[in-house]
Amino acid sequence: MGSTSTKIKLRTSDQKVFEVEKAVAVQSQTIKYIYENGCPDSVIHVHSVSGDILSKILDYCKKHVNSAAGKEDISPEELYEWDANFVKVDQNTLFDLILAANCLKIESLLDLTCQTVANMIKGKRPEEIRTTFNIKNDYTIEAEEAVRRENKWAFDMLGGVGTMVIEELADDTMSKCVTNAKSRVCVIAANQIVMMRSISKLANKKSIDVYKQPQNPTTPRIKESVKQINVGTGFIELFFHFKCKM
Amino acid sequence: MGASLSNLTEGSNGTAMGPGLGDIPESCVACVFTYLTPPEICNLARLNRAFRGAASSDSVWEMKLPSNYQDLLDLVPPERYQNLSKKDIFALLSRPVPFDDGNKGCFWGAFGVREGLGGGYEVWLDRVTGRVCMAISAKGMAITGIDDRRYWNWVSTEESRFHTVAYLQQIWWFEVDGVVKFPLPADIYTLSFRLHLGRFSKRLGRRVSSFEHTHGWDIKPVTFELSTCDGQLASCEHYLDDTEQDYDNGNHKRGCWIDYKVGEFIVNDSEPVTEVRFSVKQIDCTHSKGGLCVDSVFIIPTDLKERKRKGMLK
Repeated sequence: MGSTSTKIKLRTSDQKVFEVEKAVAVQSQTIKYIYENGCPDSVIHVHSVSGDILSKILDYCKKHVNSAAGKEDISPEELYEWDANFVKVDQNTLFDLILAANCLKIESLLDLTCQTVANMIKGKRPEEIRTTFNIKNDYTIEAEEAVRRENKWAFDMLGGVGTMVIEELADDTMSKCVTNAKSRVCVIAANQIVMMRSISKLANKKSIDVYKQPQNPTTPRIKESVKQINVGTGFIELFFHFKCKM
Repeated sequence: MGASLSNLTEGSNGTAMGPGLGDIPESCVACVFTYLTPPEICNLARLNRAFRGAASSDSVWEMKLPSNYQDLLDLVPPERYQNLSKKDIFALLSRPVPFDDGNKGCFWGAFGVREGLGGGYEVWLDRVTGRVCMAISAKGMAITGIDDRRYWNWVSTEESRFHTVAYLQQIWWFEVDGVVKFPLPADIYTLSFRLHLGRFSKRLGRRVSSFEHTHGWDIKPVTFELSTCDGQLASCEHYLDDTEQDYDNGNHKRGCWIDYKVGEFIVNDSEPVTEVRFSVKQIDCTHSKGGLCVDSVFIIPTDLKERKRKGMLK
């Protein structure tokens, strides 16, 4: 009997017992430590993890161990996809996984789950984040406004005087840029839109012309129309729709 | 284990909720934050008071600052950054910080901002990625013939972050050289020249370009070069103006600011200090050229220029 078939028993908070290969179980630094320092024959208690969650976690560990050891023929892209599907769970499960990965010290799983949560936060306004995660707002209106102002610096989109950088613009997509309400805006996008208009004029227009300036200056500029302009407090949202290929 | 942002989740109809974003330990919250950009973290401060605390923690912001952020702080008078939290330091450094490279050596250091010759260097942290960016004004460059008003003039304008650009009326020997010495953090940087063919002004509230002096750029290309003290080189050539054959689609190089990419260079470490020399030249004296504005040189991490919204902070 080689060491690869050594099994470890794990008992969960709801008294379920799992028997797993050592190589899989020691993906958890906590279990590894207990196994190497405690008595290897008795059952290891994982008090804070339920059977359902541990079952999922063991699936994860097994997949990663097998792929690393070459026991499973799976490419990095496929493993990445598998991970992406693994975290397609309801929020309760996701946070249970985070707590368990933290407690069991499984770094890659903690990174994966935390990144998933981060992706659920990205691109959302505070109200939307509160709704998504059921978070209670304990600010007064004045207090929230004060916090907003205190953090305004992070959103002042100045790439230069009156310029701002739009992060992502792909052809055939609706893209959004938020610009602060300075008196003059020159927008230079990640894939090169050049536009200069004064904000006060923007506010009254239904559509404006935007020029897409290519990175290679020898390619002609392409004119596009901004489809929609929303003026908010201190910012203007511009929606672009690009049809042309560069 | 640390405190958690507990008591922040409310269930509906009094049902027992599982753990939510408010219930995970601080270390996990910090892990989530590593995948968020500074603006996104600032956004979270508006959720509620506990999140505001978590979003202001030094450990989170220390990770967003470049490893050698102290070198940037040295450019600022100490009283401005003493007692600041790491978040406030990030905010401070995300606004352009002027520094004086001097014309002959490096004057960065704990002396604050200096008035005088040259000047026109700025460095800042990109708000989203925390990477170091730099801009060098034409004022900080050596321009051949800059003192002769027949050739060059300085024009005040709000279209430049330095509020001044150099306008070339006419010259035969067109050469602009610059050098910068700065402890840039490890990264791959793109250097580009910001140029504008023609001069511009405002007439009745509208921006107008004039090309009365613009000539000669379609005859021969200009040469852009950069070199680093550790031997990296890049150069390229561009015609700054369209030749007559290209006119079918209209002339697209005139009347707008164009960033001409010179090339890329790699910095492996903030020490030894990076020194980059850069230039743009057209010194074929058989033809004269003119009608060009030279604003500045940008040194920006290459990834920033081609950034896709993936959300991964490297």
